[in-house]
Amino acid sequence: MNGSTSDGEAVLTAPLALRAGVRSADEGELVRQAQRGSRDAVEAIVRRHWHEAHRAAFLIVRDEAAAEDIAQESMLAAIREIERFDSRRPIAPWLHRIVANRSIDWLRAGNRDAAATELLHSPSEASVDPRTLPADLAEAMGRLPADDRAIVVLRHLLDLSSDEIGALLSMPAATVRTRLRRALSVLRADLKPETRS
Amino acid sequence: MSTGWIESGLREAHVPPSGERRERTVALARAIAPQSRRSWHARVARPRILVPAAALAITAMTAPGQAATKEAAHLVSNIVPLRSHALVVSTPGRGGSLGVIMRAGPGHDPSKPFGAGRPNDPFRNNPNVHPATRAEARAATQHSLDRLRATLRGIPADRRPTLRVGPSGRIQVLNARPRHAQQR
Repeated sequence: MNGSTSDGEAVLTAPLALRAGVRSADEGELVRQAQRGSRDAVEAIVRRHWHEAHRAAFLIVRDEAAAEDIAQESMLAAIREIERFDSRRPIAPWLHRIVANRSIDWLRAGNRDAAATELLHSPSEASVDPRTLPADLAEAMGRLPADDRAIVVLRHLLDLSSDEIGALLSMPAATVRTRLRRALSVLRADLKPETRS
Repeated sequence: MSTGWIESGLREAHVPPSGERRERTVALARAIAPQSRRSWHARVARPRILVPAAALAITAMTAPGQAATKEAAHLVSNIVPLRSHALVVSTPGRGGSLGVIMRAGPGHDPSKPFGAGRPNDPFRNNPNVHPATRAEARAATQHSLDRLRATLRGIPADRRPTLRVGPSGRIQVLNARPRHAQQR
């Protein structure tokens, strides 16, 4: 299924987890070419994964400028280290972890309160336009604590495991699962029935 | 409990456009793309033989050399045609490059690469032989030089050749003497 963003970018809307798990042969070849110094391959990798990286960062940090910074820094960090990457493995999960790490770092740098406050109390002046998310989900996500919001995105958008999320957030995997269940319950209760369906 | 509703909600959520930043990131990524920085060691560690293209890790020289072992000479001769005196400083199969220092016999013109004009079909038709970059050729040559120096320790200092990797990427002998002069 294809869609498009407001700036005309073609967007694949197939399940992210599925795409991350499916390693097409040409992706491995792209990585190998990039490791050998092919700039075209490097560009192809960035283009292929930019949208996912930006989406994930934006949904976690809820700040437009920060999301662009995080996506860019994550991509460049990956390219710098791509020579050490095992080309037999899919690259998407690796990129996702970089994005998740940097998003968590951003939240921990003291920005979480500002983002949440803007979203909850002055949406018209916030850097996040509530219209950019389905309204109900935007409101419900905004009411979640920043860590819980990150857990939801990391688990259900980036397909990270509880162990991986726990390592990122420095908490036990069991705690991650508990907070995830609680966050989903809050979201489910807040969302309108038609949204859940 | 199904979680499809939150997954689809997150997937379908619109995010602000980021095309401009994406293009800037692409440009930056192209600028920092790896420049074949993998060491030649990493490459030759694969089960294949790496032969630097330009010099083929074989440097013609009119300098004192060491006699090749029969095994090494035989191994090399299966890939490139050898004339006579040869010194194998590194052999494949142990993570090393195929580095061969060849010494031309009397009358050899050092300005001409050794083996020029000779049939090289065994080399060209060998699927395990790949060309290498100039940097790899230099690295292989330097490696060969290091190995070569280690083999020269037994030679008296006044007769020991002074070797270096020249600007061309080939091993140069700074105090080369004709073969017949050495034997006197």
